[in-house]
Amino acid sequence: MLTAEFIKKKAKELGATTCGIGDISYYEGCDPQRDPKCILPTAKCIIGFGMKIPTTLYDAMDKKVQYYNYTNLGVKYIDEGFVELLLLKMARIIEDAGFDACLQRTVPGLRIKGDKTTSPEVSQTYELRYSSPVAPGKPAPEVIIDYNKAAVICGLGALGMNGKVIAPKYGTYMRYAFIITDMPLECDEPFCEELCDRCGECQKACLGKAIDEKGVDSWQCSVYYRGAHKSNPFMKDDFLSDDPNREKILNGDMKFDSESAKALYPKLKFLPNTHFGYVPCLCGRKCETVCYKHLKEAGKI
Amino acid sequence: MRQEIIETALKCDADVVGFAPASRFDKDDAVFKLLPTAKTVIGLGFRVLRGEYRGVEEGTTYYQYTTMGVENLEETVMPFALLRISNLIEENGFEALPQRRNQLIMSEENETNPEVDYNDIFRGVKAENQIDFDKCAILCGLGEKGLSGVVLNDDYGPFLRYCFIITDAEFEPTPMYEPHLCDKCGECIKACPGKAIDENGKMDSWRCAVYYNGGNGSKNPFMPPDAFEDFENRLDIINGTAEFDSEEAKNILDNIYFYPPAKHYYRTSICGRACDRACYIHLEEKGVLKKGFLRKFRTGEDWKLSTKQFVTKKREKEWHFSGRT
Repeated sequence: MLTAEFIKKKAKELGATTCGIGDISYYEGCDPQRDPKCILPTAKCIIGFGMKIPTTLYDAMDKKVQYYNYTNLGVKYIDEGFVELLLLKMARIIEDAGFDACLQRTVPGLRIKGDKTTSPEVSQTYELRYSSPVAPGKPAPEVIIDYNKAAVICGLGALGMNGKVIAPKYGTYMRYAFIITDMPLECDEPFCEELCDRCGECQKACLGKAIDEKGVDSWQCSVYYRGAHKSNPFMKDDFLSDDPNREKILNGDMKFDSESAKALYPKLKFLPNTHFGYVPCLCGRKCETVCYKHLKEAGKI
Repeated sequence: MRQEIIETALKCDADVVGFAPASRFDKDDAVFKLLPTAKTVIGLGFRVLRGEYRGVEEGTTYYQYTTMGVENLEETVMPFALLRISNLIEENGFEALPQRRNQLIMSEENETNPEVDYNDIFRGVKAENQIDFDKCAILCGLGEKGLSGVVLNDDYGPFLRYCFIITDAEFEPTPMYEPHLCDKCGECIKACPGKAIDENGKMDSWRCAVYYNGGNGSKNPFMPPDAFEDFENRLDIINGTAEFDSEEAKNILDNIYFYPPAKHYYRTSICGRACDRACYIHLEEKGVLKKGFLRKFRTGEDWKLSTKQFVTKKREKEWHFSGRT
């Protein structure tokens, strides 16, 4: 029988920065469309893997000297390349021991039925609005687990005000992937330490004022993630010159919903998308960099 | 070098490795057009994890099969293994020509590949020689041919994907399978939501494409009740019983937009390879698969959606989302 210790050691050998194991019972009562047991009904636990994004990729954006490598390496490569290989290799070990392993990599382009939010990281998101459950007691597909909640249950970090998971050593500079399995493993306790002190730095730093007490407005975020703010170094002087709302938009004072955000996207083409439709991050993830600095100064990470 | 190749392949996530001497191939096989001095074809099989089929089996998650079980294997894992092993062979003074499945090129004039958009395929391309992957897997001793044409392996049944290396190095051959897995039970035929496999196991690639992409309403939870509204035979299409040729198939495929493609050029499998899953379940029931799991893959009845909604064009019961809006 494989042990939790072996799984964690193997994950780190294969390049994961952190690995934690969460008890599936913590999902009891959750939204079925986010429930790992709706993917694997016999699931016993969920294994979480954290992949660190090099701090210097954020620093380069903060200093306005380079943006594209954050998206290309820190987002696209981790999720589309590295994570897929890591999950495959880990799942093979689990299957070889006779247990099921359901891989859960990010699903950035899809939104479950009824979820009207978007992912700022990709060129478009598609809501599966026509889906219906295939049998009584099942949720409408696609079931997409809540990655933030999973990371907390696996003991990998705490949810911050900016909607990101804060890891005790690396702050928000991490990405996550998971395996749902029926292999019985010794589970970690959910992360219960409060790392976010609600300082509001992320809220203040967001160029598009997309963060408030309730969380992140994903459509607002997506516009300024794409570089609508005047601080975008790739912006030309004549950008939106015919738009009566130009100043409001450039100052981050314009409020966007899904329709107005999508209408502006074609004009927000400052750098090419990477493979698989990842949009270059031109806000510099300020919500994360200020969070990281604050947590460092506060001695919390 | 044989053992070194096997060890390298396993390190690169191959699950099975086999060696076919050139003598097993006809003289006019594409293998010899590609490398006239070929002495061996090395076959590598990579499992599609059972857990990647789980979401479709449950009818709850579809994205992970295509991204991880198709795209990741074909575009990342297999090419890496092919390059590593080809370089190993070349370093030993032999030629090594890696062969991955080119999904978008075919010599046939009027066939298709369900895993990709039919519009993207270049057909009738005869100058680009390609080996027959299923035949090569069998000649490499990696499995036997099942009724539906899929290669069946002792450990993984139909849940493997293959790639090959043609080389002028000679190796001790892997024995070929004495067929013993497929009992012609016909479960693959019954399971196909588009009746794309005939009683002799012949696959109609256009039917397969239509229903791989989700043409059958009883097996596609993403289909709206008014799907295929402009088609006179819409209910036949939705029931998987419509007769159509390749041109009509293209028209149907153009109207299947209920779930976006995964990535690269890969279409998302909505049937979830029902033929392969049914085969696997049958082999597991028979106890002939050497690689065992604690639990059976299927423990109850397969799900099936009512097609009444497509007659009335209304959902009998609408699902309400309880999360964020």
